[in-house]
Amino acid sequence: MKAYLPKMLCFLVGALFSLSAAAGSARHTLENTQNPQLKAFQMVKRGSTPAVDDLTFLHRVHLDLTGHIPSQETIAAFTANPSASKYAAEIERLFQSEAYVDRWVTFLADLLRNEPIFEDTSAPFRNAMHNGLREHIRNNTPWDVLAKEVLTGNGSAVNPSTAFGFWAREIFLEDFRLEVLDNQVANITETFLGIQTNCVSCHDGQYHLEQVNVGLVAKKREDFWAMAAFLSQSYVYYPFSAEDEDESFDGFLQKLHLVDLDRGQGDMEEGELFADERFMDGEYNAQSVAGEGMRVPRNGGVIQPKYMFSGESPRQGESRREALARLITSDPQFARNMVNRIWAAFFGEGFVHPLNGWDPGRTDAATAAAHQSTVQPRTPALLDALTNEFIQSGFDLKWLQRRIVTSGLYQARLTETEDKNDYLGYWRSNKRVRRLPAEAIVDRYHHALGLEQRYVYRGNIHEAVSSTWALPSPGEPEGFALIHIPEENFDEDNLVWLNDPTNLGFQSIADYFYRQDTAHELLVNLGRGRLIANSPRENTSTVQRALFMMNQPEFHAYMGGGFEVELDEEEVATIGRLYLPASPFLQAKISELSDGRLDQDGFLTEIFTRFLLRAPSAAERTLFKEYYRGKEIYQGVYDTAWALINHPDFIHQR
Amino acid sequence: MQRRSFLTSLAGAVGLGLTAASPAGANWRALPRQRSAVQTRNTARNLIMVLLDGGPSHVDTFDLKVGRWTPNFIGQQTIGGSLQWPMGIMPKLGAMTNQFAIIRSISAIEAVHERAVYHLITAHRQSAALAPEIPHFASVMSHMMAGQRGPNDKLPTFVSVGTDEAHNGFLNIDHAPLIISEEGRIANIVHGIDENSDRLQLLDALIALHENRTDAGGNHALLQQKARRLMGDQELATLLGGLSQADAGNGGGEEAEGGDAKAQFVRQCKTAVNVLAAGRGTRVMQLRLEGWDQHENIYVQGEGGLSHLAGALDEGLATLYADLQAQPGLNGGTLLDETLVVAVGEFGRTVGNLNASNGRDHYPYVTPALLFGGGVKGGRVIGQSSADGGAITDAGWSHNRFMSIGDLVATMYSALGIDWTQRFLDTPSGRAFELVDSIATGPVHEIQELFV
Repeated sequence: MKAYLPKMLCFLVGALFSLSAAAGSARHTLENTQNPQLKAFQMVKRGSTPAVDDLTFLHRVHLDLTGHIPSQETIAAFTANPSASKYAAEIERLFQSEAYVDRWVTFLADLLRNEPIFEDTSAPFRNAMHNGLREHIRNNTPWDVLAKEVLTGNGSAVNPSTAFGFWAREIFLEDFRLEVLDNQVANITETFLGIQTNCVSCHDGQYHLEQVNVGLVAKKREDFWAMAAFLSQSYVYYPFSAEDEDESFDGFLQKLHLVDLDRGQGDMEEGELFADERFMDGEYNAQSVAGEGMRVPRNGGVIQPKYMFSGESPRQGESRREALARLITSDPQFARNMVNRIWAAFFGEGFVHPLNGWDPGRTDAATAAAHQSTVQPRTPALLDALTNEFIQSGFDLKWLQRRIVTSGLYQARLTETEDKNDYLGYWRSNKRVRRLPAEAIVDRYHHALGLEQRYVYRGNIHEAVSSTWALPSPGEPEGFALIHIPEENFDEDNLVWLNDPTNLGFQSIADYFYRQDTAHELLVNLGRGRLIANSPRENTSTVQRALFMMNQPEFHAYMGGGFEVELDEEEVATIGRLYLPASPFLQAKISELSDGRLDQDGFLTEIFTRFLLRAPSAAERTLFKEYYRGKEIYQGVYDTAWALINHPDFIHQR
Repeated sequence: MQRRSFLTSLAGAVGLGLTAASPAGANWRALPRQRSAVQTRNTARNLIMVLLDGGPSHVDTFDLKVGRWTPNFIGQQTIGGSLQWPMGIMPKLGAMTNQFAIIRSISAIEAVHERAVYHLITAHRQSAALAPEIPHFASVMSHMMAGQRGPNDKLPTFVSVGTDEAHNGFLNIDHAPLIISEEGRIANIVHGIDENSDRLQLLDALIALHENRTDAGGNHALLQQKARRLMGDQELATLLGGLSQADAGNGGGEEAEGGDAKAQFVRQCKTAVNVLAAGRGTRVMQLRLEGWDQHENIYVQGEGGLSHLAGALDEGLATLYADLQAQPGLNGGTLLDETLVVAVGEFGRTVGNLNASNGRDHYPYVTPALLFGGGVKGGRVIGQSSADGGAITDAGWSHNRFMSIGDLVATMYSALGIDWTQRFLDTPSGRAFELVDSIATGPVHEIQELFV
């Protein structure tokens, strides 16, 4: 904590100004706030019962913290436990779980854009960064430390701390060096500050942004370029020697380095910097001509680095990227941005939404007044208080999450409509009910049916994972994860296997392909998104998705009993016959209903609890029992499962 | 439109879903510009734009230039004394050159696929700041023609094969496209397991218990009900569900899928005609034939090569023409008379000798288009390019500049009777939205040489 002391002082001073209008003196934490409006957020006292029933509590915390619904054993044990301390204990147990790591690595990987650019490789730097993020989440690395590592990462692309995945996309997809730097700094302000600055890369803010972003109105293109200039000493370097003539593309990727000329890495004898010769002097020379790059021509000569929100430059002896990392992580907006993003993960939307829509001229009361505008965030008093506490915690992400889930507001019974007399009424209302992310739905589907999950991702060929949350980026899993695709002479009929799927627990090659391809299809159709395709994760309900879940064969194949997938003769010869196993849970219920060990009421209670984590309503119970009349038992069981998978409560948080 | 009635009408059902951004009851009104309004052409009721995704090589297709590089299979012939045509790869179109017009003098600006397609489908340059607001021109057309919809119009005005970067923007969700596959189908519209159709009624009853919820689950229930209405509609299942006409009544059977690009594109074209002819509300369709981005091995025969794609285009456009002509129009003529068809890619390709990978690269400076129907006079070639196709030598119209992408879109608006110089002021950002983005050199014009 000592290292953060100077920062804390700066922020407390700033916080005094921002909070003075709302929450009183910043020395009060949320726990002893004098502001009655914020009392609803205070922590639920240890030993007191939340406002929601046990099943709703479990549904909420499990899905939000781990992306999974609890197992039947967990539900049974929890509901039977009379102790009032079980709620806090369950939350702690989830924080310590491997599933927590998987889920929040995905959060970070999405935020930090870790997606491989090249499809036909072992994704070496994607996997390196993924492994690095796993360690960070496991060790609860403070967010400012993690951000600095990503922003300043240099060295081998396959060293996790280089965070090469964050840099790769712009480096490889943009031809023109200035575009690379500009796009990447725009990514940086969006990721770490929540502010989109790319508008002012093409034109000054004045006369363009008055209606869009008041904080950027005064900014000029030169200000944006001065931000990009912090990256101008950074290059991708490829060391090569004569023996590398026949190097594979994978080998090439593994050799790449991210280097900074101003960190003593300028001496690269044998090798190649990825840059047009004109741009190898480490300066941001704004001069360009028409047609060069995709932007209007620029004038301005050599631009020196200047942080566009404060005008500060690198200090003596400080490398440009290290300076940028310092300036960003000490900007109050850095903390605000992460509080906003984490909040949105639990409440469905941020204090500012969309999450990259911050207006730096409207972040808090003082700033908004200075810009003659209104405060942008919803319930700014709560945001400010949480932000200050997050900073004081040392940018502790787990602390922030814990603070949120142990709050009375998070554990509240949701209201049907927003109570306008309640400052926090919006967050307490059912507006925060939202559709679950793709991975959570896929996982819930398998879990409810009692089906095993097994996936392999590229570059990680010696182990399988058992949850889509453990996959390192969108685009996984895919059929070719275990297959080597040579640059030439690729033969579909003679695949080169990197590992035998049966070594990883798959029943057969057919089983491997089916699981990989089905999971891929499900994730894509449920909105996982692809950064490379500029389509972000998207959790909205649509008619197309409703049709998909009702009719796509993968969504009812497992309920139809074991049946043979139709393969044509050639496919059968090469990959074998595939019998899709029926859901063991459904098979067990069919058996129990058939021999009288279970009656219809008992079945309904059990399947509703398992699928939806609640009991059926009286109307639902009547509906299903009416449906069962004249039906075979197996038909009734399968149709109930299918109907519940298509029930709104299956794919929504509550 | 009242929110309730919007939700229960099927027309609203098949968009991309409810988004919080659509303001309830918004009545976006386009306002005429201060300058004098233009006279619109008003010769078409419907529009089909065939997006040649990837950017076709103009010098190998609509603006043939023969040189050392030209392979024999191109089969160049001179038609009507002056039109050079690749009969070897587009024989059907070559036999009907009097039925369509070609424009050879559009000069596009963007050379990057995403930006160039965006420019074509929105008549605006792509901008991160504005993108969430800017609608596809077909969504704008849907909005402008909303008053013409009747009680039996259950399909949206705008139907698109595949998705692009622009949808309904700031306009209501009613104007978002219904997305269909390259096969011309709504994915997953048929349940497929016929013995289990009882379960659909079970789900209907279950969903009905949740339709009045005020949370996201309630919204979802309403969307599921819309999806169910789609599924239950036999006519839609035949039009867009791949259900063959013969088997529709028996609740089973699906038409073939798959096959090569040609078979697929022809199916798309046939679906387009069926959908327009059914008269269920759809008036603007975007079809798609992709694969034109031939940076490598452009003249290689077989799937993926130029001859294969051009053959697919040839077959498809000829099918479109014939099938549209065979359908009666609403106003006495044929459906072809009432439907403007525009085949265009986002840019042309480099000219002369092939590149180092035996292909052609992006070249926006000369971008060709082929048009027929909807009042277009056949047998016209508008504009000319240089001997190698690298520069426009004659813009082919009366205005003192090259034709732009905006002019082409203006032409489409004009054919449908929509004043392209209008703009909306009440956008969420407060910025005025012009139907066709202003250009520095003066007003945007329709290409009247197509019609008079």
